[in-house]
Amino acid sequence: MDELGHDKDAVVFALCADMKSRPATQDAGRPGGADRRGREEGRRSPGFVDVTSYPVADALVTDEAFAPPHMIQHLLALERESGLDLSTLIRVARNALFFMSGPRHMEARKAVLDTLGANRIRAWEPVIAQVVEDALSLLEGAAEPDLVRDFAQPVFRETCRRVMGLDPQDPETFDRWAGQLQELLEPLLPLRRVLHVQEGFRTLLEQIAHQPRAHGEGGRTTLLAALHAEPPRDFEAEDVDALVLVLYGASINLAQTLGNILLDLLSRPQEERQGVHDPAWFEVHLEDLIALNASPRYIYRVARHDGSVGDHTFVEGDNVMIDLRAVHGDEAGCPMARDRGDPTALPPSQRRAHLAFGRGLHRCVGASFTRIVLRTALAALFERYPELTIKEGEPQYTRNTQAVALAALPCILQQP
Amino acid sequence: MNSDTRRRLMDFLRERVSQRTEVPAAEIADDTELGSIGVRSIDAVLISGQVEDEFEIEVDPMLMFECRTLDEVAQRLMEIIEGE
Repeated sequence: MDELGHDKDAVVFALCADMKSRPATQDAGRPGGADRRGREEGRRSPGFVDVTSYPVADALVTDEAFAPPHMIQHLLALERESGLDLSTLIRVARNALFFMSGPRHMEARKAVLDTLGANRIRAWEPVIAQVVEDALSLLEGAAEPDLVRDFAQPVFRETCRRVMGLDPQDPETFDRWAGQLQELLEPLLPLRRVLHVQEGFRTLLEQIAHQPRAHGEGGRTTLLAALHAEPPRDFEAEDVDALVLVLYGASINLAQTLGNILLDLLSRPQEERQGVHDPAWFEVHLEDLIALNASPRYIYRVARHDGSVGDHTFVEGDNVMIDLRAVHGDEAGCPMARDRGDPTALPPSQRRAHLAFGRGLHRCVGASFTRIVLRTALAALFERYPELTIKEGEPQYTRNTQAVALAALPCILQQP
Repeated sequence: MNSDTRRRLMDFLRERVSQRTEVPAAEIADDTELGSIGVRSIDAVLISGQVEDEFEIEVDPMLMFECRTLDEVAQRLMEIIEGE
């Protein structure tokens, strides 16, 4: 396992079960392109429906008839029926924004956005810039520089820990477990994995409970400190810790997405990435890069009742898997896909029409933070190393059913 | 294929599916569609865990949704058992 809990030696191949992970480079096109082969829209099996078209996905994500899975109820039933103690995982699920609903969800979401929202997070830009500079130094000092190990992962780790206020006593253990938390999202997680994930959460929550209580830096208040000082209604201290921990685990998408974007950009012909050393280039191109390379594979919804969307009929209880790569590659239905290669053809409002951050009540609370980190990191990297190239060889991906994540990306910083 | 193991597996699965769905075991044929008798996500997770403990293999609960019938589930599980 590497420090983010990835099985470095596991190279993922397409399996007959579409639910399993598949490397994006199986595409005939460039890395980061949509992978629609082998995944047809429609009912995959009783209880599971794949969505690969943008118009259907766009309608579903804001339709109240389709909601995130009832994880809390599922875990309660699993605990009752199995006789196992799942209390830690149940607490985590109760405080994971993705699984929450109703007034408690809205209050928690508002409280988090008081730190991570678009206007508030800008206060952390100097810290983000400094973290990126430190990561560039780390990259330069590496004997065999790797853009995942020596850049994307440190950028994620330091920016997220500092903004969220996480200061674990055992950072290595913390990150090894944090890298596995995404498993909680997996539909039909085997019981042995449920217990394994719970063990991880229990370990990390203990670390958070015993860490130094830093308020913030430079007049900025960390998310953990802010929520402990003014917790949302019905939140105990342990609930706050669980909420922030889940957000940190979810933020691993940032490292994974940064890695995917780097592979995509560095695989393109030179003429397609002219200007990439200029921060202004990313002002225009970043949203398309996110749409093509965001690490989450799916948006997962459950049909609350029988109904239909477009040509699709759904039965109550159907697990609906919105395939983000396919949706964003839907040239017939997705505005961004139609004008791929020329984002300026779209008005800025439509450039953000992708679903990488979701939409509506469960839209990613870290979207603004992610954009700032990606823009800062990418611009600084290409400005420092305009001759940056990746080493030849087939990219290696981690075994991850929930995200497209590179295990490594060896590079050459400067031409000899 | 080990016929004794397969028979034991079929009996095991039929009994567990019967317990979860409250459909009498005698009414669950080898080719009964699992979806039609109400096998749910939680049933798949629990039954898979029980199969793992009994037969000492790793089972993905998704298998019970990919396969339509008890016979198909058993077929896939036997492949795992014999591959171990």
